Amino acid sequence: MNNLYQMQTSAGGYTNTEITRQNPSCFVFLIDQSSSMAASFEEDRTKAEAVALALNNLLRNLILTCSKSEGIRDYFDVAVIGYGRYVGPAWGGSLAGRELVPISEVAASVLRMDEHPVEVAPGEWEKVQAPVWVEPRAEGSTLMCNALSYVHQMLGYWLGRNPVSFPPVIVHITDGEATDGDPAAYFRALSELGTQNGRVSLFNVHLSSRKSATSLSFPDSPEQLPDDYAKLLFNSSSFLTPYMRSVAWENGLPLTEKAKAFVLNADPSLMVLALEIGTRPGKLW
Amino acid sequence: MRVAVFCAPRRFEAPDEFEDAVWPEETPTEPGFPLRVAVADGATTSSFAGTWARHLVRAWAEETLSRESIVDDITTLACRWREEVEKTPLSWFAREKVRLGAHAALLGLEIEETGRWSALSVGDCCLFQVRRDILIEAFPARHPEALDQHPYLIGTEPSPALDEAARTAIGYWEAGDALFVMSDALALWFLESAVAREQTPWRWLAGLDANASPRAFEAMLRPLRAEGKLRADDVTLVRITL
Repeated sequence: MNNLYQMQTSAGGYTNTEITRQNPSCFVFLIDQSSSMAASFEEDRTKAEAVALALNNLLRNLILTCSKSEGIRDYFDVAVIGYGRYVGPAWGGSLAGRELVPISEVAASVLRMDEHPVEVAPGEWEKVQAPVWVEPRAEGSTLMCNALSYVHQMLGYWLGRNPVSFPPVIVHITDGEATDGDPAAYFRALSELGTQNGRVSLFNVHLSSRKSATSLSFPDSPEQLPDDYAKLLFNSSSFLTPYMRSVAWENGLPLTEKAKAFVLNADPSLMVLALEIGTRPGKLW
Repeated sequence: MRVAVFCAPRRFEAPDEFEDAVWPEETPTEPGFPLRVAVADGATTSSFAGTWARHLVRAWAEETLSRESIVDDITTLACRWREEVEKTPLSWFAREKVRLGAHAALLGLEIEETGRWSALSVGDCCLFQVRRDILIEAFPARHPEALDQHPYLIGTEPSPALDEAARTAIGYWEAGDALFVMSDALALWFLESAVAREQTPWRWLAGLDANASPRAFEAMLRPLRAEGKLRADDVTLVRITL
């Protein structure tokens, strides 16, 4: 069973490469943890709580993907970087302060284990273990430029050690605009990073600040975008890979080849879908 | 009748990651009729798929798995698989993977002395029959495109869909025939050679030394892998010469 990934090249075309333990790839989750994330998002959750829940669930699923009979295969290094009161790693527990961590170490370093009821059949509930690595946080300002610069430097080191790997995927979740300057140049610098196999994939997930805001998912042109900030996020987002588009298609979203890795004014379900698509750059065997 | 069994893991340096299973487990010195042969290919996406594949081939060999009662038989086997994998303490993620179940493709073949053979297939392991240097039977896939899809596999959570996915075939053999049972990567190479390029891959398979060690077999596959003709995957082959 092969492990081909299709990816975007700097020329805009697609090429194939492999994610292996010798050539792992990486995921960087860049999370807005500023005070505005304390606003209500779902019925009983703030944005910060909803993001932490979705992210912990995503990490669990990534670990299960890499879990084989003999243990966890280190196909990925993972970083969770937050920005709010300060910029830096957002892991809790024994991973606190660490940047990119091999996925096997993430699996072995659970902060605590919650249990969530899941309806496995109509009326039939089962308790599923829900590991936690990242706690919700909402304080301080939106230090987006600082955070983008932090990730740029962190990935620079990683790319130096992994020059032929499948390019990293960066998933950026925010609900607001930068308070520490114009992030355009930082976005541009980040999106120009890459390996010999192509540039990084940058996924921007913008959360809704108002319940009435119209959401926009994976646009292929800037025409429908309401303002310059939305256009900035659109322009800095990568094109979805063919595999990401096929995942979107499975979820009832037929997209064009020019669809961008960007959602605007996402509600909770669109945020979860965007995370699901963003972390499926290709098929992993 | 002569029977030869060949196995090569995807990565030779990691034999514990080999998730195919085969019956007989090694080349038998004096095979007799009725001969029961099976190849199962555990899905790498699931955990303990190699263990599941071994349960399947053993059940086929012991005649505790049949087309008529496949859903019940698999339900029984799945209980044994679960008991086996849960014998040792598991980490949280291993327990979750066990909960999600394991999957495998299976091809079981029975050869009778009367000249009849019958086969059961779920998934993309394949059987080929060659007579007088001509491919006369390919089951269940007849062309390479049929292997380029996501096959239905036997899961440890059997559903009625398994009953529909299970396929059977019956054929007849003559002295001098060769039957090959193999896992999907080698089957894809075989069909691409035989059907798409009109070549005779069975000659290469017939020429393999029955006493070749797994390391020697892996070395023989290496050129095919290097040329991109054989996908990087576990490879299992049973060759029966009648």
